[in-house]
Amino acid sequence: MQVVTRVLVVVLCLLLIPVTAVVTAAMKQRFADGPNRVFSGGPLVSGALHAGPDPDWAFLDEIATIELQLLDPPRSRRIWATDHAGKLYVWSGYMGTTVGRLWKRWPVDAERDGRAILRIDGTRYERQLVRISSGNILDGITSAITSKYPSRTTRAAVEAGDVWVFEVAPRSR
Amino acid sequence: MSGSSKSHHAPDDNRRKTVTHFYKFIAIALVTTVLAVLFIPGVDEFIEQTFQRYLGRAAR
Repeated sequence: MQVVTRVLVVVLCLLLIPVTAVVTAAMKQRFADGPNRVFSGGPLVSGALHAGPDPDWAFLDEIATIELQLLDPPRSRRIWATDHAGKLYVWSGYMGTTVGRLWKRWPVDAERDGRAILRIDGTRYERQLVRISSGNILDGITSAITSKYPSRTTRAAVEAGDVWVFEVAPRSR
Repeated sequence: MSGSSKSHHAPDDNRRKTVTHFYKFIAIALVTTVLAVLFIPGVDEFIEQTFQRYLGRAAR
């Protein structure tokens, strides 16, 4: 029994090293202007604020990821985005798994308060995230998602709550 | 008599020293890890990339 306890202590101590590395890297990113990969970044500070009418979001076809910041909490992350019928959409997968729900907190925050800032190619856009969880529009959105990314997102997955889709609407709406 | 007592305590002392060395090693490793992630360029990126790979697998 004593041997088991000792082995357990050694393993836990050794595990502490990678855990410390991950926590430190995540904390460091929180102070940065924007996210990197999976770790949330701080508020999006740099970049001109877009004014005027919405752009033609078709230019997103050439852009793999965008930066998204919620106003509350003021943290940013890098996410996939696509356009469909002249509107911009973002989404989050893995929402049906425990690890996914622990990892992806922003969709829950966004459903509560959808005010957001996007940064695309160095330009910031003030927007409002509006969740879409059902409807025929999902056929077009999921089709746009799967044609742009190696994703198996389906309308059924969205309606089952495994994938949360948001329209990135103008803030005034 | 005293020689017998000494040999009886020697393994305990050795074990205690080993444990102390191990904890010191862990403490130094932790401090080194924090400093490396904070100040050596590319280390934070490597950590995040590795973590992303693990998360992607775990979330499936």
